[in-house]
Amino acid sequence: MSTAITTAETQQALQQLQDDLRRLVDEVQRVIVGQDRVIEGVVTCLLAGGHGLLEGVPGLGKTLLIRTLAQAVHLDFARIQFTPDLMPADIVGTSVLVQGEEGFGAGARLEYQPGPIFANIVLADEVNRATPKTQSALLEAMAEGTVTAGGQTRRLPVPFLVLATQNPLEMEGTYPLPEAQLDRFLFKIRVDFPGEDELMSILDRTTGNEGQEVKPVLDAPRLLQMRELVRAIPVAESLTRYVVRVLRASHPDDKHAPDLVKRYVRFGGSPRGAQAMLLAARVRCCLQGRLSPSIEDVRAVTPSALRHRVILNFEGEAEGVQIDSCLAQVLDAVPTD
Amino acid sequence: MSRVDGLLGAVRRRQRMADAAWGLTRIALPAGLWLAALTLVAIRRFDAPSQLLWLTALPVPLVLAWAALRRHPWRAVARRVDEHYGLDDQLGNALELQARPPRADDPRTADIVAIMQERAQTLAASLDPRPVVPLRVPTPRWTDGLAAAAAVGGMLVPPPDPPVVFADPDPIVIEIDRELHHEALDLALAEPLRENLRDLAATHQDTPAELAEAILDVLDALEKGEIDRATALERLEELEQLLAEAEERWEAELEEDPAMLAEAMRELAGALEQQEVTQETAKALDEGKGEQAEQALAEAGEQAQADEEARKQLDEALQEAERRLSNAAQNKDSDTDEKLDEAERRLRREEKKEAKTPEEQADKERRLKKLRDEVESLRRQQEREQKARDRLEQLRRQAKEAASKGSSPQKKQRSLEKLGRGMSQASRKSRQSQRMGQARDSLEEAKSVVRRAGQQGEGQDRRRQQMRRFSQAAKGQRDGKDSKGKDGKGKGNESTLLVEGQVGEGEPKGFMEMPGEGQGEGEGQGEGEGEGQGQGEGDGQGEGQDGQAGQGEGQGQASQGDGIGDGSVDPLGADSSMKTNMKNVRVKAKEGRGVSRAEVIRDASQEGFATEPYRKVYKDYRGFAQSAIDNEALPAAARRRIKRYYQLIQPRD
Repeated sequence: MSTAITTAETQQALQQLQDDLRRLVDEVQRVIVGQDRVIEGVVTCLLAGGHGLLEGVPGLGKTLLIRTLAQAVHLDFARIQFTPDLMPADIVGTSVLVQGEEGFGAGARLEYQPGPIFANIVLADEVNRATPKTQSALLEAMAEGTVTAGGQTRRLPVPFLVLATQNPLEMEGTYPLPEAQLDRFLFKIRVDFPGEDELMSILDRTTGNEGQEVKPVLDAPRLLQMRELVRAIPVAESLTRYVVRVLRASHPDDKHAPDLVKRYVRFGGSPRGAQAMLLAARVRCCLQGRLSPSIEDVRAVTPSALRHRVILNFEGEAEGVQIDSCLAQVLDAVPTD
Repeated sequence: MSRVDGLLGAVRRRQRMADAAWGLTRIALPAGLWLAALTLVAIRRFDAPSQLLWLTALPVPLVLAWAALRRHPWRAVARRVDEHYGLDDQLGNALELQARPPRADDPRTADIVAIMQERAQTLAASLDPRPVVPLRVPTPRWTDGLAAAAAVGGMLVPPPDPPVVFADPDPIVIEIDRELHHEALDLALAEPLRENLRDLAATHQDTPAELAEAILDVLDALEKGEIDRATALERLEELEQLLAEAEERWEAELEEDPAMLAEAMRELAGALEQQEVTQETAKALDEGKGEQAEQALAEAGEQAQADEEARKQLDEALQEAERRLSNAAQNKDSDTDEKLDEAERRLRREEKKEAKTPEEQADKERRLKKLRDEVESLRRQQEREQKARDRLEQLRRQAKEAASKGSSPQKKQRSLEKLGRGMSQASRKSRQSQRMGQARDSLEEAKSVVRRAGQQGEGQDRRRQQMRRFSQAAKGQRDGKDSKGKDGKGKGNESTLLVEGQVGEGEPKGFMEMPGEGQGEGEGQGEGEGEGQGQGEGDGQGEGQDGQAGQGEGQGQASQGDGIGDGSVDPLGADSSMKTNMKNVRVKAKEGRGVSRAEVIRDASQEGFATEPYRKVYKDYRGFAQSAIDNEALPAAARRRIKRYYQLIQPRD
């Protein structure tokens, strides 16, 4: 009897999860026109507890999307505009000398002023424009969820989500993110230029007097519950094996690796890539209203999960090979049975 | 999960049926057609066994076995159903998670699995397995058409040369009214013809054999008086008509020139005869027994494998055979080409001629038709000669391969088998042609015999009456009519004619009146080719009116030693007594060497006597004559004469 009750509760929880997700997406889509795949990717990062790297030309609504998402989930939001002169302390915060009752004499003390990283959702805008030193300041925060400053380690708020953006066109004067840092991102989401209808809608919404009010549909505790439930979703062994095969096939020395990978890829996805694929597949199945991820879910999330983890060799770079093309061949080459 | 299992089981069964349909149309059908084409070519061109055709059906059981045994994992079947209905692995995941539950600390995971299985059951109940695996026969592709064309092409490959037994759809039956109401004829002289006919009828079951039997029936009936001469001739005419039809069919079906093949087979026999190991083959080939020759050659091959000396002999025989076959294949002695050129020239010339009157036009058309027929006939003959050359060239190659020292024993053995088979076929073909010719000759000869039997009927009657009279006289009986001397002038006492030493037992019935000295006359008739001579002698007793004993001696020239003479000898007793006087005469043998018939041919003795055995010489000469008969357009009578001559001079054991 108790099992039946538990099952019913779980079923209800699942239904609630799917409803909340649907409401969240709907709320974001009230502001963001089109870009369904980008919204799905960002929500996936939110539910899976991973960070996202959005790549697209300026003006496609990346910042707006992230801001809207933060408002919809009722979380603290901070935006950091990365520039070459940005210092790590500008991100993580710094200890400042605070006057005492007697000015800077006795009673004066160092007081830590937290940086913008101390927010639930951090928008690292044009992250590749900062120096590696500054970029690495994000490393600990993204990996550990903590910040060490002034000899003291401080925990970041939970949930903590970094959504970085970068411009693929203006590469001059930029500092491409190192592989180790890229690997910290769950997804690298490509933001494409909107289509004609989408542009029409954007113009309609943004050039009038009426602004779109975003209502919070979730809060932090609910988001954490949803994250737990997503991780409880069962995954069939054959699907896990398929994820592993896809990851291995992104390496040029694997037996399933397609010709493009063998020829142009220097190194394939890391194990974090497999984790990202499986987690993202779980989230996607929830978004689709299902109870267990399918191969189609894995195929859908693989480009976002692996494109920043696959490293082309010199020949591939010189030929201008698209990593997405390599991944498409990988998905075609790996058997589903 | 019973519903899910049932659904997946149904899908799996349909998958096997679809596999079978696909395999049968995509694999078994084209593969079968290709195999059919290949086996037909192998059978018809390379003498492969006809059982190979069973290979054509082999892809079918293989494909069915493949469809029945092919693995269809449950997971793959479930994935197929999920894909078809857009279920995103719901059935497959439920099935798999039931079989292998995931390891999870969260109890909700198990709950989710249970929910999934419940949903899967609900889904399975509403799903139809049929659309998942549609049973459709694949549409034909161009490769299938190619395979079908290949099979048709294989069927168009000409079949292997069949044993040359001329099949006649209608057995030759000559109705003979066997009521005995005609006078019997003595056809003793037709015995050689009958012997030939019996040989012809005994060896094979074909049109010449049937014709031979029919001719024999006609001759028998004629001899027994069951039919008269006119009817016999009529029957023979019917047989001739049947033979003409058979010859026409044979001519139409004939592909290779039999005369050239026969000549080559004689050459081949001559080559094989030189070695002991192949003498049996040569003998069988020479006698026109193709199957025996093939068998003997195979045995020679086996012997050669076992014995080094036999192998050497076989190689030498085959090398000689290759040389002779090469000569035969390159033989351009035939004047067919020249005749064809000449006929075509005449045809062109005739075509250019202009006819001025309708009569001339009709005449011209008649001549043109005749010339065209001649040209057509010569062209056919030219083609046959070319095909015969091709066949001989093929035999030559096989002989060369069989004798090649560089070839493996297996390859040599195969070449030897092929040579034997080809040799047998060529021999049968040439033999069949000869048999047709023999049938034609025998028929002509039978007609000739029947005609002559009719012309000599009066002589036969007379001779038969005389025989009866002599027989009665020998028995001392009167036939109511006195026998008189030939000259009718004899008036002496009756003298009894004793025939061939038979002594009268009763009263003398026959008398010959003789004027003092009797004179006998022998009668005899010879038939046939004029061969054989005999002398007849007759003794007679006569008694003159003056009481002097009459004496007579008669001599007659008769063929076949059947002469009967009349006349008189010294009376051996009293004229009125039947008792003869016995007189013993002692004959003294002549001493010394006596008269010898041996004659020394001085020229031959100076040149040296022949050392070649007559049998071999005879065979060479007969072969040459046979070649001439086969190749040249000789009149039937001349051909008969030549054959008869060689029959007479053939060596006797």
